[in-house]
Amino acid sequence: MAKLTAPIQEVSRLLDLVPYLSTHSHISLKELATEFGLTEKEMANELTALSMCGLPGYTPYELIEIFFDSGFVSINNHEALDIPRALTSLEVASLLIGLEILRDSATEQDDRVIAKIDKLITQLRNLIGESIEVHNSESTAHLAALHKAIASRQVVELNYLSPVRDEITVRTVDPLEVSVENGHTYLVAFCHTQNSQRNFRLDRIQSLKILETAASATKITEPNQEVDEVLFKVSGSERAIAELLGVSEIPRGGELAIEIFSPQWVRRAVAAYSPDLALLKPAELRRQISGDLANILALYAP
Amino acid sequence: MFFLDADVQQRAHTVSRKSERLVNLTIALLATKRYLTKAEIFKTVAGYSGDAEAKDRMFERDKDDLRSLGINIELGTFDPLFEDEAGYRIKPENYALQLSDIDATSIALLSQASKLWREAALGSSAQSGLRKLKSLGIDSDVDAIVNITSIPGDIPEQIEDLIEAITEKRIVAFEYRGEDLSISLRTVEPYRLSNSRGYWYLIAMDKDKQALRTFRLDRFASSVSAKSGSGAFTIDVEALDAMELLESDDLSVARVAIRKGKGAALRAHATISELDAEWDIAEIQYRSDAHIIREVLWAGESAYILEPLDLREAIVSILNKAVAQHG
Repeated sequence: MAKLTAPIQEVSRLLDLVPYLSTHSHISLKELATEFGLTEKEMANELTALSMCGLPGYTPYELIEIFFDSGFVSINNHEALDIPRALTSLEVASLLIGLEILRDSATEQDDRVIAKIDKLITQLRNLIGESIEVHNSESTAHLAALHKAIASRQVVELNYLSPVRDEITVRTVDPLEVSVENGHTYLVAFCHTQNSQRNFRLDRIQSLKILETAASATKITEPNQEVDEVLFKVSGSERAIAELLGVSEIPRGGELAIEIFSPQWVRRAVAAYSPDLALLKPAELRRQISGDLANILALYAP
Repeated sequence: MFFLDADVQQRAHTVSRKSERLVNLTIALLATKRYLTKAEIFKTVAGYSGDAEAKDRMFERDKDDLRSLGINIELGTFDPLFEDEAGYRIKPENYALQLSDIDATSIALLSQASKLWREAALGSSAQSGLRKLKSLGIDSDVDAIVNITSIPGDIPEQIEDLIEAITEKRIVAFEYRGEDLSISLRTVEPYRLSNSRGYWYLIAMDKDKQALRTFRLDRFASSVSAKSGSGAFTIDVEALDAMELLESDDLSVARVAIRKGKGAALRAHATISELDAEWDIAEIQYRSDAHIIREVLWAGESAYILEPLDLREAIVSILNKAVAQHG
């Protein structure tokens, strides 16, 4: 869709400059330029343009006055444009989404801050309606606590659901960093239970507790997990399988070589997506899968 | 080459004159207490030149340009009892920021909300919005900081166009990767955008299927293009309500045996009772056969379907095929 053209963006900035300058008198040209995302030279040009504007008549009495005083800027004769402009729908939406995420993360904040966020959310919603919503999702629910533990370098105890091992385990970890990949938020942490660095998906953390113990690991190391390449055979062209394997299309013939971290994951994935997903190589893993499938089938024996 | 340079220079010059004219027009229409006629505008506002027709065209374009910034020029007459020539003005209450009661803590929170976007799409909108709020001249109260530094998940590039289309009620089209990975052009009335578990979803009325559909933004295979002007549809509230009802309606129940201590994902939304010393029984609601079959198979040797029988038969047939494939 059409984006605002350069002159229209310029108009938008000129209109916003006036109320900003009227409450930030004697601001440095440098700071002003940074605030509006321009170079100092561009900002000086826009200020010059602004001083050509004013009320009809355009005598010195009607024009907006801009003062440059050794690198500092102030404004006079600007009453008509003194009011900050209404927010656009994109501005409302971006602030609203940001606030909703703050709200979700503010688990350990005092009530005053949460009440304040709620009030702002209501105010912004009144401007834009119910058309944009951010759900309280598990992926943000633990964020604040984890950021806090990372900052204070404390050990965290996680109740973690591992879908590959199919169990909920208690892990004691030194939290290192929160990162986002493929639509999921992960905690990168040194896991004392497994004695190596691991990534934990936030939506699989059932609960967590910050311990009094100081964390010993403080640096992220390159992942030292072994990567194996396996060869899948995909029948048909189902989106769910493409997304499972992290590809955007299935090649003709259906053979796909993929790097995997966990053979256990491959065994579960092939069972779940049978018969549209099969494993060709390596032979050892293929034999294990064959055994898995026979064992599952045996559960249905009369 | 020389000719081109002169041309570019010429254009750059008219660009800034146009900006000045638009600012002057805004000032004049905001400051006036009564409607200004076109003749008055052309006579008093700096920057209108040429013959009557050229000025008219210029003015029409200027109105559109200001509207694209959210500034609406109102048409009206000063005295409705007399058949005056219609005039124009911008009402300050429509032009001005509508948020009241903003204090230092609000500014601190809004500032943090805008910083979460970092360099992502919508980041510049968040910044310009915050700038308007800062123009109120309230200093930020830095104590009100929540411990989070960025929006979780990837931010799809289509999000800006979709928000504009939703708020302006424009019909849009985009290419979408379907369940069979084929890419097709979808034309929709966009209703609602939501974020859940790091994914962005668009709920929209599909024009070709005449039904509500949910689209995941990471499955878009193109950018979004507008197919209508603004105000092109009204939201079908009944369909939206029906869609929400469907989410709890129309479900079947499967009885699944799960090995004790296993099948955590299957147990999450199930009612559990005991079968024997080794197995539990879970009653699980499901909508699609394929989906429940995959969930049960994911649990491997720790789960099998008891009922309904047709699901059992389906799973046995799938497993027989899979065993043959790996034999």
